[in-house]
Amino acid sequence: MRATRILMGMPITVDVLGSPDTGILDAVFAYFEDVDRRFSTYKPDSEIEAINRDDLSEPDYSDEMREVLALAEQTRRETHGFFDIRRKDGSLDPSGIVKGWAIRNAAVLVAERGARDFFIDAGGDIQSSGKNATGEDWSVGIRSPFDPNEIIKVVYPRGKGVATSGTYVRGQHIYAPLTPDRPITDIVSLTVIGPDVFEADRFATAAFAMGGDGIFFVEETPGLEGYVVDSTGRATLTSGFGDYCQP
Amino acid sequence: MLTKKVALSFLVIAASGAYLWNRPVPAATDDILGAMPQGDTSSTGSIAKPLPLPGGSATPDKAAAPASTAAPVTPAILNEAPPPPEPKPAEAADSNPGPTASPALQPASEPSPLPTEPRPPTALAFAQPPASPAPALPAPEVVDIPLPRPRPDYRPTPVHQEPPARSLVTPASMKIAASGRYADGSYTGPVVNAYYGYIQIQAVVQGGRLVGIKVLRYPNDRRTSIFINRQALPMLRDEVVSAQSANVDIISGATLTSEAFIRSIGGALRQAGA
Repeated sequence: MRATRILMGMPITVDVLGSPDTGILDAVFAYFEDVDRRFSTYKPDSEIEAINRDDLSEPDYSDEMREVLALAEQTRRETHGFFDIRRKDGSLDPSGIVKGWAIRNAAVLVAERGARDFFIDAGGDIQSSGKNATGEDWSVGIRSPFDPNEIIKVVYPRGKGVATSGTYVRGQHIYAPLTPDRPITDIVSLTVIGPDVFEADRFATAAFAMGGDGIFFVEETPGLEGYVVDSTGRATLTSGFGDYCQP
Repeated sequence: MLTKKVALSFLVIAASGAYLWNRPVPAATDDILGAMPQGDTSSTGSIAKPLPLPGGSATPDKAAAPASTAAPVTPAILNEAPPPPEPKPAEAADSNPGPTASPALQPASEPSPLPTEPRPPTALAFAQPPASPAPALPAPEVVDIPLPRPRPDYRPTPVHQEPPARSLVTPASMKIAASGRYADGSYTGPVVNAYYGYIQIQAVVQGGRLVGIKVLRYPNDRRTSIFINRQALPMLRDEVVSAQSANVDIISGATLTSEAFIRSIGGALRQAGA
């Protein structure tokens, strides 16, 4: 069974195979709604906005809020400050980390209800588990940054998380010949495969912000593999990424 | 034709934005494309700016059907934007961040900081199906043959302090009726923080409808830093991207800029709303 809803500003698709528990999908979407209510910087009555207004002091933070803030701070350190939820005015915007965290928690929720074969896709960040309907590994296509209708790579995450950060280039698209010495600049899409979707998402966000250095950051971080596309249509793979491209 | 493709891409963005304005209401996937603001469908106008004009992310068709071939995107095409009266970026140069040492938030319950050792990301094993109850992280995979050097351990280097992001968002309510009547003209939205840079959108309204979008600013001001010692890393493999079979279960794509995009164009349309 499969359903898609727009929540947290993005389409969220949940596909669960072979489970008799028809309440799973509702439970997952209810969870995302819950997260949105708590963490949305677009909702004045969210907990995060209460914090940003100083209406809520730290001892009164929810456990979820504490966890997310702690994870954000950990990520800030691990990414040399490239990931920072603190805005210049001092307010907090944890949306860059909440998404992956929520997908991971939702996947745990699905697994706890007995499902083994499923995926959750929230705005292109994906946690899959088990096999697809034909008994094969779930396949994930990486969307072309140049054409939203096009797939430029197919990976088989096999239980790992997949997340893509980027923007979409408009205008001239020139395929450059491969010139290994040329520095990677002007990256437009960066996909990370990590131990789970939370790890993939937060490091994809941070590595994308690093520009040309991002793929090297992914390369040197244990447990992560990456695929970056620059504005000329050249892709660069980390050394272990190819393992995920084999069915 | 390239320009057509490009224009179409923008339309997709517009559709994404228009739809999401209504997002408090959970909706079926199929509706995503339905809320698209209909541009002039007959013209083959081109985007006003010649060069890379990345905009917000476009993920409207994603939910429609992963693995969908040729999503049924409405064939509307953006018009050539009339000469914009005032593409005036309303932000001061975000130059001087100041050495704000970013007094990091100090959550009471902080997970063990691991400053020095290599950090294997905390795993959550959505393990391989049937017979793998093993929750543990699989050992770091053995590298394949052509790898010239083993990967170095992850070692935090001197902290590169990024200037804290600044928010220029006008935090008004985001409710915008996609079907509303707008006054003709060009409207420049606020510069919005897209997490790794800024986005600013200009909306072009003709005949009371949104017919064009120009991306005045997008995150291209990436800092390059030198904290990564590339010499210590193996040469990474390159390839030229090419279209693959769309026969996949799921699609991963970027959405990072979408909320910022929506906010900026939302600000522009508020001006048009009168």
